[in-house]
Amino acid sequence: MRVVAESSAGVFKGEVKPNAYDNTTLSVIIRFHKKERLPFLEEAIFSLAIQHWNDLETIIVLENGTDDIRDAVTEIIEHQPWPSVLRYKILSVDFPTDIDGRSALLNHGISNATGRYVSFLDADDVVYQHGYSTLIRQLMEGDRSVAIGGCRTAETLHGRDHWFIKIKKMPYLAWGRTRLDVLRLNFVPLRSYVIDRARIGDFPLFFDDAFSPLEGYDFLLRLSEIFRPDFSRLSVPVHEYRIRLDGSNSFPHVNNAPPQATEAEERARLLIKERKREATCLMTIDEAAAYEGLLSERRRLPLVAARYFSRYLNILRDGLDALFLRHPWLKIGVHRTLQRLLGESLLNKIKKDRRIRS
Amino acid sequence: MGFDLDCVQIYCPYLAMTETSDTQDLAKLVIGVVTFNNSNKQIRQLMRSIELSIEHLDGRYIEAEIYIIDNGEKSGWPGTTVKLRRFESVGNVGFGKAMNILMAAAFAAPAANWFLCVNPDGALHYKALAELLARAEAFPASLIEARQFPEEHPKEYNPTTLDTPWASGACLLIPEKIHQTIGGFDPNFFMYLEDIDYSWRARAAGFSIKFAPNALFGHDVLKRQDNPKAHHYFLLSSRYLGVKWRNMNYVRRIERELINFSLFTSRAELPPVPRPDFEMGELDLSIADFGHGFYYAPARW
Repeated sequence: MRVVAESSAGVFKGEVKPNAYDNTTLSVIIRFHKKERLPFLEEAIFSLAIQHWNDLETIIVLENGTDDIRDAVTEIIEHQPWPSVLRYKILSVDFPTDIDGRSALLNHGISNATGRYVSFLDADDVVYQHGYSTLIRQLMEGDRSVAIGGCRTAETLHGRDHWFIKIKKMPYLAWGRTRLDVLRLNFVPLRSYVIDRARIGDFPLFFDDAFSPLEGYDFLLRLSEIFRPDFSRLSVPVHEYRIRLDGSNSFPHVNNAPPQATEAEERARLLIKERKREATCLMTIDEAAAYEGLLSERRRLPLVAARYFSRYLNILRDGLDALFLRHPWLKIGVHRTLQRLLGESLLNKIKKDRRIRS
Repeated sequence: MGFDLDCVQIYCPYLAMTETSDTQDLAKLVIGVVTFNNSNKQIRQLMRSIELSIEHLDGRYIEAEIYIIDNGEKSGWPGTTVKLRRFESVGNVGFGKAMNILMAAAFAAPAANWFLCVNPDGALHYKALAELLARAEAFPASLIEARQFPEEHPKEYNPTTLDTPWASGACLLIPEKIHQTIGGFDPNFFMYLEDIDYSWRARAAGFSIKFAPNALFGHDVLKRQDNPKAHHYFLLSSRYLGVKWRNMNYVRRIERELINFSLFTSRAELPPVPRPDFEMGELDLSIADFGHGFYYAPARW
């Protein structure tokens, strides 16, 4: 990948195009295709109805949607306690069952969205009530085009007539927290960011099905080549990724997946690698300078080592969480000790530095 | 089925009914809300969610009413077909004391079958009431706790029996039998932990606590700002809970926290602990769980 730094570039500063998307609406696009997953969709939509950000447009895109699914989805939407005028669209895209139409569903949603802000939500995930308001306020206060928040995971097991949440984990201790890291690693889930369409000009917002099942990473890569995302809210969990421990919603490489799924993912990885080789990332000189220290630091640590480092850091984090759960007063004691040793102001300074660098 | 403008009546085949459908034979549910300077938007959304949830009680003979009391400024409630009764404010007396006023009225003759405590800053899922009442019918000698959504409390519960050590008062169904036996919340808790104390008292009296995982109550607890005043009340309630349930190690730990947080400079400055308004001597004090920090129960995360 080539990095080109320029002294000034209007598009990087998120120039607002006059009269483009003259609203504060957030369009949330959800793709849906399995009738037996309606209970999950119900929770996803309930989480939208209770959002602090009221100006919402819900767009459900069905894969080969039949009348009964459409009716069931309509009923779910209309039974929610929306705080303001209910706006929703239920769309359907038809294609043969042997075609992976995930990208087509999202693209159809994007082309029908009227909101200035756009976000995506999986039909079996939920958004925290403050999730969208946190990210949109960040966009409003700054000049970036994309605001990224944190993702919390919830591992679930099917119990007596409900899904039992076995454990929830705080945001991944991902290796990345800057644009540079996005360009190297896939660590930002599709549903944890909001895009300001008024600030991306004529940038084509679409998902490329050639990259399926990694179409989300390709999408963010293309965005990040041109626009610098705002990572300052990465430590704030905005949405919850619900992992069903029966394997019914994990990535192919996590569980026993059919060979075609694994092959598709391998193909996508190769395409991503090729795209990165050919890409050109535009950034301001200031941003490049900020990365200079980071780049020399990262060069000393190969990417493979970085991935293992992140993995073991997560294992250590999980171990500490389990220890503190059994001994809650120990956690309070450790926190007190850190405050005394480092001083509260130093702890806050460390947190502030991380935010600035992102 | 005809609609009464004052009261929504929905019919339940599970209860014994006369052909004349005498109103007094209907099961009665009172939903109690204690407000404290909540925004009109919050109240509107809660009201709408209650209406939707009551409409979804199809097939059940339930008479539903809402009882409201304001601990702060008078709250604005939108017009509704659900019967609504406002109680005169007695000032900011705390959650428990205010809720007790509503509960006492609800369980006065003719007594309601159930009282549902609901926080004003949340919203019921449209299936929540049906789910809660289904659990209440399956477990008549239990407090029934709705699942806060999307962030439920991490305390453990048995996914098969649905037993849980205590129930949050954010959305809590109390059957008449439990109120008759143990009364209402302890008014000495101004805010926080009155629900834990209530749950422990219920268990000590032989009742159980059940979790209703499919009864969702939308309630934002994840991003509560660190509020020194709220933390102050929380620690004072923790201290009282420790004294009441006779765990002096825990009390000393909390008193250290109160001093560490610069809320007081020494133990001598700490306010006196209120006297519990009834004798604890005969209760099973081993029910109280102070071994899991501020969770008061083993936690999943």
